Amino acid sequence: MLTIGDKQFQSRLFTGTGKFSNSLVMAQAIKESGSQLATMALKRVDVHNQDDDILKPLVMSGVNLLPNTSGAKNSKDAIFAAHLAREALGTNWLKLEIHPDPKYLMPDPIETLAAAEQLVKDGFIVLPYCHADPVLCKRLEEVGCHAVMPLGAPIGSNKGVVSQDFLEIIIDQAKVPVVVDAGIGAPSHAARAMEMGADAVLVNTAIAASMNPVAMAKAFKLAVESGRLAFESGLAGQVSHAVASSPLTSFLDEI
Amino acid sequence: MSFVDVFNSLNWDDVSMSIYSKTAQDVERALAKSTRNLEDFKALISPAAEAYLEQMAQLSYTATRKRFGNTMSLYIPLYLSNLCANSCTYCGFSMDNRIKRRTLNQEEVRVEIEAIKAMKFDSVLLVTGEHETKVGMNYFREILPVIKPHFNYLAMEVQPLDQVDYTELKRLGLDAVMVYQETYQRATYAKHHLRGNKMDFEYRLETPDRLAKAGIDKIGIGALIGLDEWRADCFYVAAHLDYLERTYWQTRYSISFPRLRPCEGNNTPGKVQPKSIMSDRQLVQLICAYRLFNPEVELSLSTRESEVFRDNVLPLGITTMSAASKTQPGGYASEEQELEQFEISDERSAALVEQMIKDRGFDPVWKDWHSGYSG
Amino acid sequence: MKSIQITINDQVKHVADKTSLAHIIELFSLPELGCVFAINNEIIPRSKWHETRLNSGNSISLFQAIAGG
Repeated sequence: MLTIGDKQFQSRLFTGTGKFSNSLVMAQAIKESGSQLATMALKRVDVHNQDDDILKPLVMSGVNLLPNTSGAKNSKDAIFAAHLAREALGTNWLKLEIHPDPKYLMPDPIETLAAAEQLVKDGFIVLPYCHADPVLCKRLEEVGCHAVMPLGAPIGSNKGVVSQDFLEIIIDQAKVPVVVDAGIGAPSHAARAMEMGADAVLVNTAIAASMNPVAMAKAFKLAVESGRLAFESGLAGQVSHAVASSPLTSFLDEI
Repeated sequence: MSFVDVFNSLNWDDVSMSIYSKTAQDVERALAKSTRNLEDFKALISPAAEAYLEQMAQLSYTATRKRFGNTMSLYIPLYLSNLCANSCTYCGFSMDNRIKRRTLNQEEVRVEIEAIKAMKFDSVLLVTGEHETKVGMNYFREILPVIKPHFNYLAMEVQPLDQVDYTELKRLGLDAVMVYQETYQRATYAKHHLRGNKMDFEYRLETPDRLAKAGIDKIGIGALIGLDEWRADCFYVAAHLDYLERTYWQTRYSISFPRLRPCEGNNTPGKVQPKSIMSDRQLVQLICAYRLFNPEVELSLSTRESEVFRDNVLPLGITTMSAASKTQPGGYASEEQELEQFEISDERSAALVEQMIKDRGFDPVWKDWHSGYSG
Repeated sequence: MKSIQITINDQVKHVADKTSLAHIIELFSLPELGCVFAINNEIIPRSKWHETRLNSGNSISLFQAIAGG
């Protein structure tokens, strides 16, 4: 059971709602994934050409909502977006994401930390999306974030857990849950992140853009469960043979 | 929130049982991992791990070289006072013992400093008994400015103080503080600490928290091995370290492992029979276990251990050692033998120890460059 | 009743002066579920939709939850 802030989750797979063909497929995929937390964005409504309603199916299925601040380029925008989201969806849960770089969508650490600090004071449960920078994650934790969401690889790249060496450090040092977000492209990547000790993973593109999102969602569900079980069971580890050199403890036989 | 909360969630007997029930398989698994946790530490200090000592030593040797290279830091204790308001059964300074009590004045401290500097030391550990009124903040305020200008690194091992005191001492140049819980077993602790402020188990237990909050650079913890069952006590030390690193992630840490020696006489002041005896082999096992559990922590070996032991254990995980120590106030300037706090086994001069370190392929480090910028 | 000009997501509209936000939503069949309204970048809580009245030149922004990662 995973606890973040005031909620508990059976499922350690969080999902995004973007890039699906339509909201029906999206709802089915999320259901099949077993996910209990879904992210969504906020956008100005085009009154004459309204978007597919994603909210109703999600609310009906009982999935927890995690609005994000994507589109924000700085902390001021993100803070405004957060307040909009809280009012729109009636939840104080927030995925804080600030990427001023539209090409690679890399998160801005300075704006993110500033926004996180303010939003925690404003009563939000802040889940910040950030680079896999161990010191940044500690700083975010210190200002009150309820989890940290370091990236596995650039958004949408499907490259997997490229940042794993740094994720290991973050997981080791964190006192809040660590959710690996962005870059997970295959169920094996998700399993790998869970085996390393991540508390959860967030997957969007890998499910939505696959040939069969509903089936892929199930594959991810199984991978996350399997990876977590492996972590809890204690992996056997690779045997690293000691360097063959002169014995270091034979002196104990003589004293 | 402090370590007391974590401490209260642990149960001594459960911990003990858990350690003793670790199997060879648990040990092998722990050794094979690249990152080890507290359960792995239990396996590594369990009886089952004794058969793997050589392998542990090899791994510990490699891990220490990787993080610390071939350096060995040197420091020396400077006993400022043997006044004490506590009654600890195992200590030569216990207030019950009729010994000549002395607190060094500024002039006497200067003489000690001169003798110490002549031996090349640049890192000093100030030690006092625990006497709050006669050797308290007023004394420290007066004496630190006398000492600090002569040393690059200043550590203290005195009575637990309040956070506000540590903040003030830090401004006066304090870099590190050693505070040993002695034993993490409450009932045993009460049996050995019969009078004085040291009876307050929890205040002492929370001292590292106060130190970290005051921003002290390095915190030393440890247990007096033998006061209770050593495996459980050392697990608590590891758990304490684990908590501190996670909570105060910008602080450095150090661990010591002083052993209570079995003694001949029953009524010799400051000598008690250890409840559990740790053999030399087991001390090596412990040192390697700490290193394998935490590749970054400083492991400190004092002159309580013999020459032969220190020389051979040096490469296995130790990163700092004292040398030529005198554990009585004024011990460096005069030859007068007053009762020491504990018996020294390695009496070699600093020069001899330095040579031994070099002979073994290590670089003796007198100055800790870490504090270069903020000094 | 005097007529004023306002914008809704930058689209110009004409309404009676001092019309309430709640009435505007009804008038233009604006979505409500998962939506939030801001007037001149000040968020108007749902509870205040009835009592918030529009003035000439007011710019209403309407945001809605949409699919995203």
